[in-house]
Amino acid sequence: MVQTAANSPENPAPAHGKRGDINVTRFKDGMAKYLFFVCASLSILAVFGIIGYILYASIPAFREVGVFQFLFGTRWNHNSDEYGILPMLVSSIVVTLGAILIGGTIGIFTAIFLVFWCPDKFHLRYNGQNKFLQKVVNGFNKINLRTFFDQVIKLLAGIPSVVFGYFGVAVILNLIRGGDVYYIGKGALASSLVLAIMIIPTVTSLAKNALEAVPEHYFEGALAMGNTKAQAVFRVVFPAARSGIISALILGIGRAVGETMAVAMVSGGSVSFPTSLFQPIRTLTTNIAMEFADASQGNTLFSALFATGFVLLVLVLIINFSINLVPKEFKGKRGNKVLNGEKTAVVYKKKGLIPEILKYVAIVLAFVVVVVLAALILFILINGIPNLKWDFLFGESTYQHPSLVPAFISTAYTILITLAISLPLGIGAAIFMVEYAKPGSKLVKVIRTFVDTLSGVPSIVFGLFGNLLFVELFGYSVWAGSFTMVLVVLPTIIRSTEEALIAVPVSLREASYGLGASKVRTIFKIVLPSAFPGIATAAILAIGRIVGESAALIYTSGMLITTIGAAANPGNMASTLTVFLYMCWAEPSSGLGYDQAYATAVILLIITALLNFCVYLIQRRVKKKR
Amino acid sequence: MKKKILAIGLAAAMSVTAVGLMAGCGTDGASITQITVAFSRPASSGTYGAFNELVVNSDGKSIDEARNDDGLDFAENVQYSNETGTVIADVAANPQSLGYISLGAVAANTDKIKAVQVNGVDATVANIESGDYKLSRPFNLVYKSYDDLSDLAKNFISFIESTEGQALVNEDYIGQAENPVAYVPYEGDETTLTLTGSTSVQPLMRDFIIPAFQEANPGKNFTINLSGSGSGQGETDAVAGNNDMGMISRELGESYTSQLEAHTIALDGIAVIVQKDVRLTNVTFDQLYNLYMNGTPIQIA
Repeated sequence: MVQTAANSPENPAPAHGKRGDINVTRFKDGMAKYLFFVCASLSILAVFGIIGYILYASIPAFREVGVFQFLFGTRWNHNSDEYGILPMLVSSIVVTLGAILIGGTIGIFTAIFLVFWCPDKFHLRYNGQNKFLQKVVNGFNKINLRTFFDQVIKLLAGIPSVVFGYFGVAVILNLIRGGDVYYIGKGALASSLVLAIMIIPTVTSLAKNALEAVPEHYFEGALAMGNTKAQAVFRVVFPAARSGIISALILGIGRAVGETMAVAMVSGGSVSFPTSLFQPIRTLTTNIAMEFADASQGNTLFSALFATGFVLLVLVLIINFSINLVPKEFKGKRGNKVLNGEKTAVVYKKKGLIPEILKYVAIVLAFVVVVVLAALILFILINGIPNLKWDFLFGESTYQHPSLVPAFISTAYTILITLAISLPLGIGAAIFMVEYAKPGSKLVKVIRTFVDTLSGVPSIVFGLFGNLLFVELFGYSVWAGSFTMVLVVLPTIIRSTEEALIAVPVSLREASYGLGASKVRTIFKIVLPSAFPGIATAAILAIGRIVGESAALIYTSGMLITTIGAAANPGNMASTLTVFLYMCWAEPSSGLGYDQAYATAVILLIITALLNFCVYLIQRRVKKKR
Repeated sequence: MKKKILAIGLAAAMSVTAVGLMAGCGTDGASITQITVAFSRPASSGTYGAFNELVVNSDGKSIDEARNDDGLDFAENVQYSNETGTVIADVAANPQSLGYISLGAVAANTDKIKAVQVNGVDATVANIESGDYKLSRPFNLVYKSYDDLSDLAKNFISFIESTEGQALVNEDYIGQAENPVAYVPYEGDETTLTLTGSTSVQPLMRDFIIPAFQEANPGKNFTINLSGSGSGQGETDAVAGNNDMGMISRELGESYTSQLEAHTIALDGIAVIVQKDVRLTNVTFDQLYNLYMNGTPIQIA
């Protein structure tokens, strides 16, 4: 291309061709830098803007209600202008702690089981003559259990939280009620359990990564010193993986604090302290969802809801801050303490009992996870598959007989629009931060902190913000929903791309410069292709987040039944699949109820599985290359 | 060893799953002897506003007055249910509870719930019209000013108030048009109408008005966005200009009287509902007040 242009009559080849090329290159370099800078500034503006706005909008509430009264007041009734969030703050914290206590423990032990004790394969034996059964048994024996378990955990980590809400309503509430007719079952325990099940997959897969990252020789060394396997695992490998495991827990906490819709389905909604396990409660996020409809710009409620968002932001900041407090490297004494002193064999054996017990705890808890996850997936499939009817999936959509087609269309639009905006912005910002900003620059550190904070903000707060800004701009529409989602996924894209770019060895860039390539050329031809798998994975994760989102979309692109024709125009309101799923519970009508909900959940399960498969393919390609 | 553990584990998985799925089988509503739990809508709901304003105890104090003026809280046994549909689902799943919903939403759900008498009067359209059934409230469309409405929105209102529209409204509600005339189909080019707000008004629109409006305008292809999670949203969206008209299921809120106009399209009852097999037939205002504010269970004779 460049060659022909340079040789064409209008652009006679310059006498000293190379010099011309250098000018063009410089121009391109300058343009590119400018472009990346613009992307970075826009992203940063978005990040700073939303955090700044939440602060700004909450000031009137703090001023009118009083900071102390707001934080420590115990009544919330906007009709009498009383705004106290203490019961909800306490409920949020208690429910989250409950979730992390149950879900975190189970998740970590499951990860330990997966890494160290999970058998590779079923070792089923069948000695009979039936050939069919023999084939079945052989088939089972061929399954790689570890990979299978791993994929199932990843699948569950990607399922929209509303699905967990349905599981909570239909199974957990019934179990809690246990046949006692005077019980509702909604409340603190039910919320904690739903959140616990929701975070188990997240904690498990992150803790598993942390355990696998511990160098092999730690484990082998411990065995060589005469430790049993259990002792090596719990006394050596586990402490070495501590920081990764704590980060996994903290991410789980973040997810639990921010969850809105699934909690709304099982919490009972009363503004009261969680005085018992079965006390109906309201968390901070569900409060925003329940009070949202009455808030209009200028009234105190509006500001009070943003102030609630601000409190959530502070909670997130505290959580993020505690991640940074976790030492990167375990500094204590590593190894089996028993062996460090002069102890007799008897003492050694006695102290060695605990890890052996923990081993069985890990095995038992892993089976608990198998039970719960199997129950969840079976629950969706058993209830959903019989309802997968052609008319419901692909038929005409009317108020009386809604079909999923409008939801498919609007999900696709939301993904496309969101990615079309957030990918260039996010990748551009990341390139600027990694390739152009000075290494270790303070600005980059500040940006990183803000981006991390934003990524922990509960999505209902984005919903509030999107309703205010984007609905004002575009009206209730898929556009408004997509722009809101841009803010939701931008932090993830920036951070993942940044990680992917940093992981590209500096030597590759230097080699490229050494061969005379310009910076832009190096970025586009060398750095980005090397970082591509990481960026692609980030994009797929963003798609997963968009597909699974409910809270941020309900108040921006609407929760409604619509026609195919209306959904074809992103200027109209339309619900995505997950919002549709929530609507089946929230506003059932003649053609919309649990049957449709479970069928939609099956579809979401399939989409999540497909997205995971894409990630798996990318990762496999990378592994092969290496 | 390992395979045994696996086998046991899988068996446990299946049995617990089965138990979990079986547990869904409901409780027998007929055996319930008292109503102990009450469901309330969130504060943005018009039904909530009207119910709390209308239900008074024997001293004539309404729930609203108790909550907003005396600073009292709902009793511990009151739980929130976000939307009209969730009240129906919650009451259907919990025979020891009651809740309140738009009377217009009862007919389609009699397989799950039933309406009980209030103060000895049946919840029927006739009793609301005669004024004997006290739990009633208006359905309003709200907007900044009638003159600024789009032609399509004006035509939509004219459809509701036409003879055809009133016939539909009167099936489950009480039409408010004084002299309905025949409907004149819409002749402009606009196709989109956005209505947000009350979940109580939505069934009237969704099941009756909108399909008939579309049918009355053959050749037109309207996109009518019907959404929202409460009357409050109808008002806030109308002020912000985010909808064509807001739907509210109560009188216009006091803080909006200077900004919005309200157009009453129907009168609706608020039905007090219980699970369909429960033997409760009648509740009094005093019982309702005491259940919601003091947690006093309602005994079933």
